[in-house]
Amino acid sequence: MEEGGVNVIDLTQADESFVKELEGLGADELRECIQCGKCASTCPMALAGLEFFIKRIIHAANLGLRDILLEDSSVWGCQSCNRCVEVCPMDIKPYEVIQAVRRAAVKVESCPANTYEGLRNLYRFGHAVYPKGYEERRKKAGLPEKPPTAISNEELRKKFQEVLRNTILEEIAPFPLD
Amino acid sequence: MGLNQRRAAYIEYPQAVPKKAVIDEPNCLYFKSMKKTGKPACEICKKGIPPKGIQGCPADAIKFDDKDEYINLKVGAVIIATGFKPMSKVHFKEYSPHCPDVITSMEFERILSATGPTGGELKRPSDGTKPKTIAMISCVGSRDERYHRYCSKVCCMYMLKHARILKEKYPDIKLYLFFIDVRTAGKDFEEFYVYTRELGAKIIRGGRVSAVDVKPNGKLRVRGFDVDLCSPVEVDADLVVLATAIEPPDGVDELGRMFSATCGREGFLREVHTKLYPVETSARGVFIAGCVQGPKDIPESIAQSRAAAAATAALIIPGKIKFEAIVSEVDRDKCSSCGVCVPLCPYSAIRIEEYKGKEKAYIEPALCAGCGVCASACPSRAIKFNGFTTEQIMAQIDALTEA
Amino acid sequence: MKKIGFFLGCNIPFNRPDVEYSARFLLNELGYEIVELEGATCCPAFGTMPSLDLVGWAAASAWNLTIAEEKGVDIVTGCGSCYGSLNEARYHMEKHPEIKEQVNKILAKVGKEYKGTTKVWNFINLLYEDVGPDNLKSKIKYNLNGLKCAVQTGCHNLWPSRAYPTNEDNTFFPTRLRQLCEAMGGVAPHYSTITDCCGMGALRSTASEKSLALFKKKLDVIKEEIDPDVTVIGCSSCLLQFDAGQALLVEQKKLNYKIPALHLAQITAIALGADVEKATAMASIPLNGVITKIKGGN
Repeated sequence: MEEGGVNVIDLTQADESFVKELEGLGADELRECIQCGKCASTCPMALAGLEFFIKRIIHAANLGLRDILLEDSSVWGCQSCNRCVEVCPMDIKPYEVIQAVRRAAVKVESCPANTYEGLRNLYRFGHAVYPKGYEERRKKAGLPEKPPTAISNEELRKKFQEVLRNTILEEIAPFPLD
Repeated sequence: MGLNQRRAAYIEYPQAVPKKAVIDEPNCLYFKSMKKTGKPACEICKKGIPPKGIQGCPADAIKFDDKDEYINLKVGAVIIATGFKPMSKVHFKEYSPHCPDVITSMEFERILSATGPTGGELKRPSDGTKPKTIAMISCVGSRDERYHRYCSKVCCMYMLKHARILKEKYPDIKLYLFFIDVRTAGKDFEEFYVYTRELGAKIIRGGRVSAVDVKPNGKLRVRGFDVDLCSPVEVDADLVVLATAIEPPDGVDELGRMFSATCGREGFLREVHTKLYPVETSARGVFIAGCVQGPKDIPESIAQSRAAAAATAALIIPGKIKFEAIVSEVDRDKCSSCGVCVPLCPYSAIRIEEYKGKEKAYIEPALCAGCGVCASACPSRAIKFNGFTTEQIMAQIDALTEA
Repeated sequence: MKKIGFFLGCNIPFNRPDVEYSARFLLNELGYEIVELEGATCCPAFGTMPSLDLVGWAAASAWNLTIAEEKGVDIVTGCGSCYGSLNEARYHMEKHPEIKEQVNKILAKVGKEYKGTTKVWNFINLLYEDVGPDNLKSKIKYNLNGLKCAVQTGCHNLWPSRAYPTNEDNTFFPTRLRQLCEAMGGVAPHYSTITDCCGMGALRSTASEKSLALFKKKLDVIKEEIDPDVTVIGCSSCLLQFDAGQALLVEQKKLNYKIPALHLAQITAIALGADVEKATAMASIPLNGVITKIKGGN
C-alpha cells in the first residue's frame, strides 16, 4: 500500500498471470472462493491483527495483486493451523493458497530472513530449529548429549542432504549446498 | 423441540389443511391399554366426562377402529407439490449443535408464533429466560460445496422478517444478523431491508460465521468476519438462530420415479425447461409446483401453483388431447407377453392388459413420447414405431447408399 | 511388548528434553519398546520445505517415514507441527500417486523407497485409543487429586481432519485430552476458547508481539472461565508459548498471574512415577504447587 498520495489500488495494473502461477503451485481452486468470510474470523493472522490474513490474501491473489502480496510479510505469519481448510464451505483449501503465494515468493527471493535460516539449518544439521546449548539441557534431563537423529549420524545426515539436493532447494537456496 | 407438550388427540397446527384432529396412536391411552389389557382406559374424546358435564365429540366423529384406506383414483394429470424439508443443525459441528440454545430458523419461527410451543413468548430453550442478544446466521448448509451449492433464496428475507418482528415487539433487544450477501430481490423487499436496518438490527456482511463456542455461563460466543469493518468480530449471544438450507423433502426421488419425473442434481424435481416450461416435467400430465421444484417463497409458490393448475386445466378440460403421430404401437397378436418393454419405458406408457383372453402389452398413445426404446427392445418385433418402422428406415438407408 | 518409533522433531530434543525424558518414560511404563529412528530429521517445518514446493516437502517427510517403515513400526510424536507435516505429506502422496512416484525417484538415489505403511500418532490419540483412559488409570502411581487442568489440544493435532487417521468426534469441541486428564484423577472442564490458536509458530517468528498478545487473550479467558492449577498441553510448540511465552509476558509485566504448563507427556510420566526433576527440568513457570498437589496427596 502506498504511503501518502491517493489511496486507490488500480486493479487494471494487476498481474493476470499471477492467478495461473498460483494455480500451478498448489492453489488449484483459488478462483472458486466466494469471499464468504468464514475463514477470516477464525484465522490467527486476522485475530492477531496482521495486515493481510487468509480471506484478504485470497481476494488479492484473485485480483492479481502480485506485488502487494509479495511485498507484505503477513503471508509468512500463517500458522498452517488449517482451520480455514476445515471450515471452508467451498472446499477450496485456503491454506494451499498461502503455500502457493509463499512458493511464488521464494522463487523471487522475497522471504523473511528466518526462512533462509531455517532452510540453512535444515540442510546443514537436519533440523530447522537448531539452538545452541542443547547439550547442557539434555544432560539436565538425564539424556545423552546428542539425540539419536541426523545430528548424531553423519552418514545418514549426508544421505538426507542428498535427498534435499534433488529437490527444488537446489535451485532456490541462496546458500551453497555442499 | 421439547419446549411444550401436546395431547395424543391434536390438530397438527392451526393452519393445517384439512383442519381436522388426529389421534397419535402409539401415545394414546385407549390404544395402549387395549393392547395391554383389552380394556379401554380412556375414551374421553368420544364420550366426554359426563359427571363433570363435559361433552364428548359433538359430531360423533371419533372412530377408534378407523383403518388406513387405500383409495384408487384414475386421473388424467397430477401436480406434485410436496414442499421442502428444513435442514437439520446436527451437521454443523463448528456451531455447537449439541447446545439447546443453538436452533434452526424453523424452530425459532415456532417459538415466535402465538400458536407455538411457548405461546409466542420469547424463551431460550435451555432455561426459559428471555434472550437479550440474538445472533442470526445465514447460509448454513446453503452456498456450501459440502452440503448444498445452491442459495436457499428465502433466508435473507425471513431473517430480516424475524429481526423486524423482534425489534417491533422488543425495541431493546440486541440483534446481529450475519450474512455473506444480503439478497432481497422481490417486490417491496429492498424497502423492508432498509426499514429493518432503521429499527436497529445490526447487519454484518461478508461475515460467514466460523465458530459458535459455548461459554461456561451459558452464553454463546459467535465469531464472524465483518467485511465492512474489515475485521473479525465476535458477539456474546443468548440465542443463536441458524438459517439452515431448504432441502428436497424425504423420498422425493422415489415419488418422482413413480410418475416418471426426474430429479435434478440438487435433489429437487426437474422441470422440462427452466425458462419456458417451469412447471412441466418430462412425463406428460405430471406437473410440479412450489418448493419441490426448488427453493422459493410464498408469492412464487402461489404463482407456480396457479401456472401448474392452468397447465393442467388446459390439458384435461377440453376432454380430448392431441398427441404426436410418432408413437409406438403394439401388435397384440404378435406380442408374446414377455413384459420386457414395460419397465423400459421411461414414461410409464406401457401396461399389460387383457386381450382375447391373454395378457398383452398396450401402449397408451397419450403418454408415449416417441423415444423408440420399446420398439428396439421387443424380442418378438411386435412393436411398431410409427414414423420409424423398419421399412421406412431401410428405405432411407437405400436412398443414402444409392450411388 | 509393542514396538513404536519415537519421532523427536527439533524442539523437543533441543529445547525441551524434559518432554523427551517424560515421553520415553511413559512409553516404557505403558509397555512400548521404543525403536530409535536413527537419522530422523526435521518433519520438515511448515516454514521450510512446505513453503518451497510439494514434492520437496513430501520427499523430506518421506525420508522420516521410511526410517520407521524400514523398522516396521508406527511413529508417535509430541509436536503438533510434526504430526501435521508428516500426516499431510503422507496424505498428499496417498491422494496423488504421481507425487509419491516423484518422491520415490528422489529416495531411490539414497537407496530408500516410501511405501506408505507407517501410521503417525500423537500422544493424545495414542494414549486415548491405543492405551485407553481406563487402562491408563489403572497404571498410574500418583493420582492427580482433582488437579484442575485447562487443556490445549493444539491446532495441528485437530486439523486438517481429512489428513489424519484418527481424530475427535467433533474437532471444534475436543474432549480426548480432557478425558485423559480426568482418567488420571484431574478435573478438566471445557472452556470457550479451547480451540483458539496459541500463537506459536510462524506467527511468533513474523510478528512476535502480536503472537504474544493473541496468546494472552487465550490465557485470560482460561483464567477467567476456569482458573486452573495447570495447563496440560498436547503439542510441544504450544508448550513453548504456554511456558516460556508466558514467562516473557510476566517479565514484561503484561500478566499479573502465572499458570504453570505441562506437556501431556510430562504430566502422564509424573503420574506414572517418573523422576520429577528430569521430567520438568526446562520449565520456566515454577511447577512446585502442581507437583505438591500430585505427590503430596499420596
